[in-house]
Formats: sequence, C-alpha cells, structure tokens
Amino acid sequence: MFGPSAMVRAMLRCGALLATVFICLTLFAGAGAAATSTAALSAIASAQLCGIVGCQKPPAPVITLLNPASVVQPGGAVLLRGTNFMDANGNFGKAVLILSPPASTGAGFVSRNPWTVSGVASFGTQYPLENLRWGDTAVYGTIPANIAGVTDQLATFEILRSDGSTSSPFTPQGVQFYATRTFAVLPMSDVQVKCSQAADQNQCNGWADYSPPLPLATWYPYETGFSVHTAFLTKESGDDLYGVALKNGWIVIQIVQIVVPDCGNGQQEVHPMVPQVTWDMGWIADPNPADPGMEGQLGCYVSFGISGPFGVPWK
Amino acid sequence: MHGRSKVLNFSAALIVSGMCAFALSAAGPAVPQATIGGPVLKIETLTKAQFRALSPNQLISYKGQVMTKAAFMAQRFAAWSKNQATMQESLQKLHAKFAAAQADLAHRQRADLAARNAKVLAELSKFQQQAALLAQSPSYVALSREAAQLVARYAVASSAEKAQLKLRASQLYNQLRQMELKGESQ
Repeated sequence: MFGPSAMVRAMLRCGALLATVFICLTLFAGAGAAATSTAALSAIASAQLCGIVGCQKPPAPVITLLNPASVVQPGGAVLLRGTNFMDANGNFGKAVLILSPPASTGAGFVSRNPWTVSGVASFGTQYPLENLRWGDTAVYGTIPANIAGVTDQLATFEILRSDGSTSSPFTPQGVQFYATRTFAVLPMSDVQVKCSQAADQNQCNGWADYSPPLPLATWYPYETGFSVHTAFLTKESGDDLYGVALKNGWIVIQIVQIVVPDCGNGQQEVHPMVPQVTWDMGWIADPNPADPGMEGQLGCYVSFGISGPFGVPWK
Repeated sequence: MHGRSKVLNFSAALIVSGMCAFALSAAGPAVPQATIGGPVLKIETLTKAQFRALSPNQLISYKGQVMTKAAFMAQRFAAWSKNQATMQESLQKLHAKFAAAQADLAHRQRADLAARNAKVLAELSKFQQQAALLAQSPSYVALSREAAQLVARYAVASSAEKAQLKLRASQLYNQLRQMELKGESQ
C-alpha cells in the first residue's frame, strides 16, 4: 500500500535513478497485481513537483462512464472513467460499490455503513473495489468476491479521493448488480403441501391422518416431498400437491422425483426455472398389485433443487 | 463424496429401521387373548370408514389369514419397509444428481466470470498501452527527468535559487500535466 508521501518519494526515486516514468509504471503495476493494494494506471510525473509549486486541490472527482464490458457482480472486474480521480499530489483514493440490503430483511436490518447518496441520507453498504489500478481519469478494480446477503439490484459506484473529495454516485439511477448464485435443496419445512386423503392412511411430509406419522421428515435432508399412502382394502389413487413460492430472486431450477412404480405423473425430472411451482405427485396404492412387494402401500419422493442469491433467504 | 455416501447409507438405514420400529408400534403391545374376540370380519367387505373405526384388536381375515387389525397393518408396513430398503440406490443417485447440479452451477459461474473479466482486462490493457506510449515518449521522459533533477536540487538550494527553480517547476508541472491529461483522454 502506498501512502501519499510514500508515493511521491517512490516517484522521486524513480525519476532520479531510472529517469523514465515508464519504468515507474511497470514497478507500480507489478506491486499491486494480486493484493488489494493500489497501482498507478497512468503517468504522473507532474505530481513530484507539487511540493515545490503547491498544487491546488482539483475539483471533485466525476465518474462519467462505466466501461460497458464491466462485470457488476461479486468477483467482477470494472473500469470506471471520469476526471480528477487523483488529488493534487497524485495520490490514490478508494472506489466503492454501494449496495442496499435485501428488501425482505429491511425490518431489523442494521446497515454496516450509513451512507449519503446525493445529499439524501440512505443506508447502504460500501464495498471497496480491490486490485485497484488508478489513474486520474480511470480506475480499474474488482468487486469483492465474498459479497453475500444481497439480492440483484441497482447499485452505484463512487470515488472517494484521498484528499476527502467524493464523487456523486454513478449512475444516479444505478447500474444493474447481479448477486452470486448458490444451490440448495428445498427442505420439507419450506414447502406447502396439499395431501390427498383418498387412501386408508395418508401422510405427506410431517402431516398424517394416522398416528404416529412416519418420522422421515427429520431423517432425510435431501427430500422436499415425501408421500406415504396405504390402501388396505381396495385400490386407491390420488394427487399430492407440493407447492412453493420463493422470494428474493430464488427460483426452482430442478425437480426430481425418484422413480417408484405407481408414483408420480409420468415426469421424473423437470427444470421450471421459476420462483413459483406446484408439483402434482399422483399415486396409486393397490392392495393386490401385479408387482409383489408393493402391496397396498407406497412412498413417493420428490426433491426441489433451488438457486438464488448467496446468503439471501428464499422465504 | 465418499462421506456423503456414508451419510446417505446411514439415512437409509435409519429409514428402514424406522419403518421396522413403526411396524412394530403399529402392531401394538401384545394383546391379551381374552381381549381378542368378536366375529372375524372379511376385510374385502369393509368400507374405508368401517375399517378405520375398527379397534386394533378386531379380528379380520385377509386372503385366508385371520389376524388382528393391528397385526394386519403391521404386516403391510413391514412389507413396505422391506421394499424401501431398495430405495437406497435411488436416493444415492438423487444425491449425486444434486451434488452435480451444485458443482455445475459453481463451475459455470466461475467460467462466465473469468470470460467476462478477461474482456475488461483487455479494455484496461488498451488504456495502459496509451499511458505507456506517453511515458515512453522522448519529450515526456525528458521533462520527467528534468523534474526529478529539479526536485533534488530544490532540496539543497538557497533561497535565491529556490525562487528560480520554483518558476521552472511551475512551467514543467504545467507541461507535464497537459501531456498526462492528453495522454489519458485518448
């Protein structure tokens, strides 16, 4: 990390010993490649004279463009263009991404960093860009890869110059931020069930019309729906409905039903890619089946694979 | 993956043992012979409601066998529990499928991010090349060298010399600054 005076001293050394700013550039760029340190992006030989000429504080930094190739998501690289990103001495500052918390966690949410945007007090979280390359008219950086607990949203960028001057948010309307996606199997506790009672004994997940129900709901964590229907007398059939309406950008990406004779509606795997799904698990319980071993009772299994923003609740 | 299989096996074992336990509980405690009685009902003749209303000790006949309702239900559950043991393979396949889906999602995200970041780095490279062109230009190098020498001289100069050096420093600063701004704006 180069502090303001260290930066100037380093430039002076480069100027005196190597006599080319290009070599300075190379050295600075190499120094900040992997860590979160800042590296010079442009030639700044003029800055070494500020100690003599008394450079005046430049106007506030202004971001005019986010390079269209920029990747506004955790781990993504961004390139901001504008003016006056450096202070009079050629020192760097910080570039930050500002995000809001998920709407669903608004109640009771305490912002880590209260922030002021366009003079209006708001509560967002600042995420300083890493691996910075800094010039007076450009800043390159990467968005921290470990951002979690935020939804897709409109975000803003700001330049916090080392002399305390701050840019306005870019863009005022915000730029689209995409959260990192993660995968989970929807647990039984989070699915709405409408259980058919057509058989002599019926159970769907933790609910049953007999007692005690089979306690599988707590035993098997990879199932979203588990139906048990028993026909002691005559052949019975019905449909169990397993439904969910996910929130905060979560969607059901995969529904898999284990292949069991007389279970299901013919589909074993589908990819809905929507937040709201109802799965119809049809079943037939036959006390006198052609297939020995299935007499009168059957258990059907279905799992919902879901995907959504990392660290954000789906309900 | 191996660890997960163990967990799965364990879960399946729990399921099967649970079924067996349930089957036993469905049979209920040993029923004293004196409490078992009444007419033997043919199960095929009962309605669903009638079957449900029967006490656990009610004798029924099913395919020629006479037993209590509780014993009959236990037999059904036991048969099904045995069948469920074969579910283990299916459950393992399901688990593997979801593990693969999880890994695939992570892989696709990483690959997409890397490809898109590469485009930004290409844009950065263009900018750096422009800056390098300026830094290597003979006029900029010459002015930079003079600026460095001037700073060194200024540190040990007399008051009279400093006034002269300051004038030249101001000229150098303006020249360098203009070149830098022009270089970055290209």
